[in-house]
Amino acid sequence: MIRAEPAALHPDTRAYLADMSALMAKMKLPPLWTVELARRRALNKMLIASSKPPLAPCDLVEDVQIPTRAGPRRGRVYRGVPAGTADLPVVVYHHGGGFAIGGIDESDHECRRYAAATPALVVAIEYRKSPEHPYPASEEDCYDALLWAADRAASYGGNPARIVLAGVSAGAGAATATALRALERGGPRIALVAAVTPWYDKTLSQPSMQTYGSGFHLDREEVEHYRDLLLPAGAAGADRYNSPALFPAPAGLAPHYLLVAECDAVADDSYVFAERLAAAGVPYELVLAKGLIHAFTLLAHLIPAADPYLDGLHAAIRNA
Amino acid sequence: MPQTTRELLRNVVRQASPLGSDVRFADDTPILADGIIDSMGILGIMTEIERALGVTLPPEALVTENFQSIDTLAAMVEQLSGREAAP
Repeated sequence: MIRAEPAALHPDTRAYLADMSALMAKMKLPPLWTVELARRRALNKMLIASSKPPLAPCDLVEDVQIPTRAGPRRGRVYRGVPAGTADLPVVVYHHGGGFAIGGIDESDHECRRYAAATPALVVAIEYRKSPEHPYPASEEDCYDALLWAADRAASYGGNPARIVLAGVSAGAGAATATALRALERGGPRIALVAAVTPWYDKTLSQPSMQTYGSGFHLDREEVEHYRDLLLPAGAAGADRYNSPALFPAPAGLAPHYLLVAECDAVADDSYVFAERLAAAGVPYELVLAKGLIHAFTLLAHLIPAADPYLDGLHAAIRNA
Repeated sequence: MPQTTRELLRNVVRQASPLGSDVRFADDTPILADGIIDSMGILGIMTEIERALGVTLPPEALVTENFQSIDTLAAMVEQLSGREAAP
């Protein structure tokens, strides 16, 4: 929904942002994204853990090594309910963090929630990050995780005919990239891509980047910073995998469930991408989360207004 | 009289607490588990420790285990500075 004036924040979102701003000002803290990268990764992990997100009980949580073209990578398998008690979709989870921070520990609460609430079998991978590992290392690891999940799902009680690629923010973009590669390479059939506040335009040229690019949790400067870590050539590095909003979608691409936060610098990425999907005859559902902000599903324990959208997201995966 | 490291840590925690600066706790009180400190407060504690002691906490020190209590914070500072914090 391209608009020049920002929409109103939900009161829950406004309260969360006000609390954050007040403390940052009181402590004279710089924005997290300006902190040196190794320190930022540690801080991000510690801040998420200390915010005490609820950890949904699961029947199985198992650390695994996922084989990739670059060698084994840390992964984790979650099963919400005992094997054999339900027809479980297989969720391959692509974590967020601008491709430079984040990981499976930082998204543990979200993966547990998918597994328990859907219920589902969830496979999460800690893909290689930028800038140490040049693009598309992160996305190729995600594709390799899909292959592993498809191969191993049945042994964990999941249904490999019901594969869902899920992710948030950069990870949601990666989920669509994995679906594109699966189509092009004759890989596993994907039942659904469940993309939460996806980042689909690495040129940062959509209007929402201006409308919501300052003061709405994810600033344009931060997006640009992560883009440049991922793509040293900057906007010139945009391609059909990392910026699917800018290229025609192929017919036969997996259906998409797009969960868009209204007050998000990358909100318009989803609207433009949805037009690409429509033009290609790819089924999609776009859900607008009114007054919410980027990556809000990870903040649901701090922003209660997120809850109904989580229910919708889990239902979409359940029905895939 | 200069304040000890533990006194400094207690003051830092009071300043960063969402419960207000008159919050009461012991050195072994689980400040994170008890809600005396929240996730944003951890950032404040980290920053104040670094400013007051003139150190930079390395990434490996930035784990929730080090921010559980005054005791664990003091142990972290001792380890980084190579000396025992005075009571």
